[in-house]
Amino acid sequence: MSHVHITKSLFVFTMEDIIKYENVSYSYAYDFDDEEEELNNIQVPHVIPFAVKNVSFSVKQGEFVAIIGRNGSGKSTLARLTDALIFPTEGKIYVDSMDTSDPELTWEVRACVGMVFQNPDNQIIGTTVNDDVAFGLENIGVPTDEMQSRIDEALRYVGLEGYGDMEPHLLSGGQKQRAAIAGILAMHPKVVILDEATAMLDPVGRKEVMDVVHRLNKEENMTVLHITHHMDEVVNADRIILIDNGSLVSTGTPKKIFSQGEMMRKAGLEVPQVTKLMDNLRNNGIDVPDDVITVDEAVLALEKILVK
Amino acid sequence: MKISLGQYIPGKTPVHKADARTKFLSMIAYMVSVMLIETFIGYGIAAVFVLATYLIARLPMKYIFRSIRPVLFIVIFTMILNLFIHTGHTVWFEWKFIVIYKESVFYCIKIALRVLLLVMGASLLTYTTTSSELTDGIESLLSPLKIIRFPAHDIAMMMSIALRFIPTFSDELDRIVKAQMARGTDFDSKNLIKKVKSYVPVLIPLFVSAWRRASDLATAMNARGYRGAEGRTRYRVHKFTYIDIIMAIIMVIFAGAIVTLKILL
Repeated sequence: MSHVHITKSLFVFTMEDIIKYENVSYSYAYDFDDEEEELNNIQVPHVIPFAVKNVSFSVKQGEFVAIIGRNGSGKSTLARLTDALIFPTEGKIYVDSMDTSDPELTWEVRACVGMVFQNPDNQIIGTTVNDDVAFGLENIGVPTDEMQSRIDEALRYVGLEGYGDMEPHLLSGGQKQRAAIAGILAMHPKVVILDEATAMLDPVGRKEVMDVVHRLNKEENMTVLHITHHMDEVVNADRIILIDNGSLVSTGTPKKIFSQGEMMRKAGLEVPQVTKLMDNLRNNGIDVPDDVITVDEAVLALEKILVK
Repeated sequence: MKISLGQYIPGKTPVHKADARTKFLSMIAYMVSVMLIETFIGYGIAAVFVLATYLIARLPMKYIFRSIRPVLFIVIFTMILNLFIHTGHTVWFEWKFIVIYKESVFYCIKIALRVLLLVMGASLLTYTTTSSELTDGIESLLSPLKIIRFPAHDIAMMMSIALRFIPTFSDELDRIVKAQMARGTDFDSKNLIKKVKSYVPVLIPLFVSAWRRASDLATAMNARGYRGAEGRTRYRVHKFTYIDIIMAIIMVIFAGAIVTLKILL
């Protein structure tokens, strides 16, 4: 029932939108350099598998958007489309008013969007932390005498001050991911995308990374797209985009999405533990409010009931 | 397992401070000179020269032994082999079918000295230069070849990525070996063929993983705006200083001395 309402509101774009997805579809089957050759030599299946199907939504400047969905639902494809690493088969994506499909703008889009990937070891290029943070700056042509101050600033922000001369492989997982964040912060992007950046980290590392990202979002008004499997990481997001099978299933505040337990289960996701607990309490006749999703809120709600 | 990149020994000596390009070219000049040497006087000069440089670089003597250790076996093996194969005029020792000539003894010692001096010189470069300085230096030295479309930048980038991934793959290798041991692979077999065969199930996953990492890394590099040498600025700027001039002069004198020696004797 809520689907209709959401789909309508999606097309209302405002001036402060930093990313707009307009009917975006993407199929890996079409991702060939020579499309004609593909059509001649390879039998095109009757049903072209789309990794992303007709997705439309927009993200506001400074918004913290969590994209959730099961494995293979198309979340990572969406992230790559946003960073102009791949281009929509159909539809358009605008990042800071730049069309990502425009080959002339590819490099500007990539400089505007910073991406942190899943495996910390596979995204570090430099032989020292300093060199790695400098890598992006070298690519976008920042003058040499400006680099060290931008590197220091970025490392300080993620709490890795003094780690500049360390070899990256000596860092912990959380430190490596924070170094990767520093690498993109130094480039002064407008959007940060975390593509399951916390998936390979232990709880301590995950907390380190999420603290930095939340601070970035609150203090610097950075737009964040956070792709994750961990439902407890998304309860503080401004908005959740639920994707399944390449299509947008639902979008809304965490409270709204998590209250639709059945929809979550259909999309192959677990509701957060707190929501589960509240659901069970409610089913057993205990009157708890239905908008409780964080641990703190749960504590308050339960305290109230127990005091009664 | 945590291993360090390269063999760099941090220091603040003139040898450390000299530009990587100067050091690299000096090493080539030194190696060519050593290859030209045929007399014991020449080897003596080269040995004094390389030992003096180790002293200036304040590298403890144990690093000299560390550098020659990997080649020690080959050096001794070829020495013994040459001792019997090489022939000469003056017989020093004769027992049944074994004949050792004076010339072959000298020859063996010279070959051994040559190899050891070469290795000591090469190690001096890696002891005093970080891998990133070295790749930057090589890129800079190769850059004139860009005129003939030689991809100097790409080769330097490949080298630096290869260096960066050595510890990652060493960790990975360790993990795979343990995983295969848990599945019953016998790595401790005395049989050489069996031992080599037991490494096949280690190398295949390592290669698969290397491909996956390469693909991930390429995506990550693209995402950070990498597009080859085009429009790229540099984080590390290398400038020649008076140290480089002094080093170049010393190298010229050394090479000159060796060449003069060769002509005179």
